[in-house]
Amino acid sequence: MGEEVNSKVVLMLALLVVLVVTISTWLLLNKLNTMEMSAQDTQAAVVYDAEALQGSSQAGKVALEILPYGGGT
Amino acid sequence: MESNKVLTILLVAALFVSVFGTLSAINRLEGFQSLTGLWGVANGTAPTYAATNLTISSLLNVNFTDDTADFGSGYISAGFDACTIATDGTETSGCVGFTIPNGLLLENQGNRHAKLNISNTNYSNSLLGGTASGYAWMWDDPEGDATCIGGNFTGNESAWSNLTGVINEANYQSNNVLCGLFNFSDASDLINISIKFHIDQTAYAREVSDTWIIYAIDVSPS
Repeated sequence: MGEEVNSKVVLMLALLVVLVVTISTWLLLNKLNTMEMSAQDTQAAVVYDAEALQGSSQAGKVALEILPYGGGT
Repeated sequence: MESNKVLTILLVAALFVSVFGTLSAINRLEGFQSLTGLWGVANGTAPTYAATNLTISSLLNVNFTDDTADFGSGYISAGFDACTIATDGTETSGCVGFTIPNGLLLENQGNRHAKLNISNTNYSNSLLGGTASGYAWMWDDPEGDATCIGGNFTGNESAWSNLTGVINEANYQSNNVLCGLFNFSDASDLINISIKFHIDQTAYAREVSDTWIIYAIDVSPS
């Protein structure tokens, strides 16, 4: 009877170990995946923004005033 | 019985190794805080990570940094047939009262090469009045020929050309291109547009103005 109980305890411990190892592996893989995605995001952000303002238009003004010949009014 | 005991010890040991191994690995990778909020690792011994972000914005920006050539007011002195004034400093005898301004100065202040179309809005035979008056222009690139490549006004570079009508797309069959490529490099991105008036003594008193327009189109490779 006592040996049977001990076997059950060992079995439970074995299942617990399997569970912990599984969770550990999942956590690590998940973390590695997150880091890889973050690196990809960073790479994608280094882009040349090709948007440009098309059709920029500027003006310059020329002016003069001609007074009457000889400076008369 | 004895084998179960040994197995139990081994399993417990495996359990501890697995738990501590996992915690240690996660902590070394990026810190446990992001997973649990329990603790951070920015203590100088474990690496921290930060994303870098660089965006180079492009900008087409061509400006008249000197956008006015105002000769002020003046007259032809009695006894003289005409007066010639120009932004290159020309001022003949007989001109009284005029000021000599700098020419219109264009600068490519963006980071894109630009094609420039040039036009002016006001010219007619009677613009200045008188029998022998004239209105001329020329352009030059004071920072070298790399400034302005191509274009339909190469004959007007550093050489006066009398206007006989307005410069625009219609009159030039869309060949009113001043530069096929106006460089944005700071070492060669200036264009000077010079203006000259020849005022005949028969010109009536009047105010004269004209507007020069530059239309820039992005021609940089994307």
